[in-house]
This record gives sequence, C-alpha cells and structure tokens, in this order.
Amino acid sequence: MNSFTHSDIASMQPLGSSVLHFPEGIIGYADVRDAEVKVLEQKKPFSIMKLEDPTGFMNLLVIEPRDFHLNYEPVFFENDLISLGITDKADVALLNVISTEANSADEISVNLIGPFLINRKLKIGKQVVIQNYANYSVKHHIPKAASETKAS
Amino acid sequence: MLVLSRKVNEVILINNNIEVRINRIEGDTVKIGIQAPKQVSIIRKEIALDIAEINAASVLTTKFQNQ
Repeated sequence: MNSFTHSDIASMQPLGSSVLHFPEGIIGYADVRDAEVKVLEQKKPFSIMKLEDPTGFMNLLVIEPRDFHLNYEPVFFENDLISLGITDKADVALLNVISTEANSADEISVNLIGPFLINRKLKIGKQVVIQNYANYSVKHHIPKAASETKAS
Repeated sequence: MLVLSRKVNEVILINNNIEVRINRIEGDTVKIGIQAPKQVSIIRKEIALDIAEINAASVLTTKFQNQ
C-alpha cells in the first residue's frame, strides 16, 4: 500500500485544479495551511500552487508525477498515509515541486524526495519525505522532451 | 534538550517502543541502530533542510503580503 510502482503512478487519475488544506503546514513554511492548485491550460502539464499563510501568499510551479515520465517509485511512511486518512492507493494524488534554473530558462528540475502527498477525496495534504529518499534527488533534472512545454 | 552518555551497545528507550542503540564508534562517526514501529518516520535531518531550501528557491515570485 505504501509503495507506488511506475504503473501505479502512470495510472493515477489527474488531480486537476483544486483547493487543498495542509493541516501541518509545509516543510520550511509551517504557517502555510491552504493551497489552491490551478492547472495551467497553456503550459500543460504544469500547475501553479498558490500557498497561503496568515500574512500573504506565494506561488510554486508543480507537476503530477504521472506527467513527467520518469522512473519514479516513491515509498511513503505509513504515518504520513495514516495522518491523511489514506487507506487506498486510489485516494492518492501527488504533486512535485518544479525549480527553474537561475541561469537557463530551458533547464528545469523536479523535487522527487519531498512530494505533496494528497488525499484526493478529503482534499488534505502534506509535504512528506519519501522513505526511499536515498534513490532520488531534490533537484532531478527533467529533459525537455519529458514535458510537453517548458516552464517560463 | 536531554543529553545522555552511552557506551557502545548501550541502548536508549524512547516511549517504550523505540530503541536507539550505539552500534559502533569510528573516529568522529557514530553508527546508530534504531528499532521503531514501522509507522514511525526516521530521516536524516539534512534531508528536511534540503527540501526547505529547495522550496524557498522554487517560489516563483516574492511573497505577496496581505494589505
């Protein structure tokens, strides 16, 4: 249940645009509790995640791993699944944060170690550290061919 | 912070279900064995720091402050 294979990831239903709650905040931003994900129709497969805390908001570029065509097989800690009330793989949606390289707009990378784990039914989520983090990077380069459009 | 002295093979018991054993000491490296229920997440702290750093670097715009 806590190990996701490549085919589990590939067969996930898209999360799409949604409003999410992060009861525990996100890593490095403990006060962020609410997020709004908006699919960028012009820049698919990327979405903007607007993160809100009591003082304001900021935006991250995110992608669902079903769309980045990497061999990504995350294993989650059981307590993360339990705390989000996830009892079935079908409940799960994932979002990974994209970074654009400062020196080149063509180069993008994705954080594979700290995805947002989301209970798509309850619309609650948590930024987690995957159990098999040693196999992945917080800054995994994505070849341009892997995504349909580049981030800008 | 609680600070304890332990010798090799001595154990610290946390919450009656987590055991932290000092397995070996080699120079400035301590090998630690941790036995915990599988639902307990155990990570190197620098991993969480790496994620916090990449989150901050990935913010698309400077933060918009509420009026």
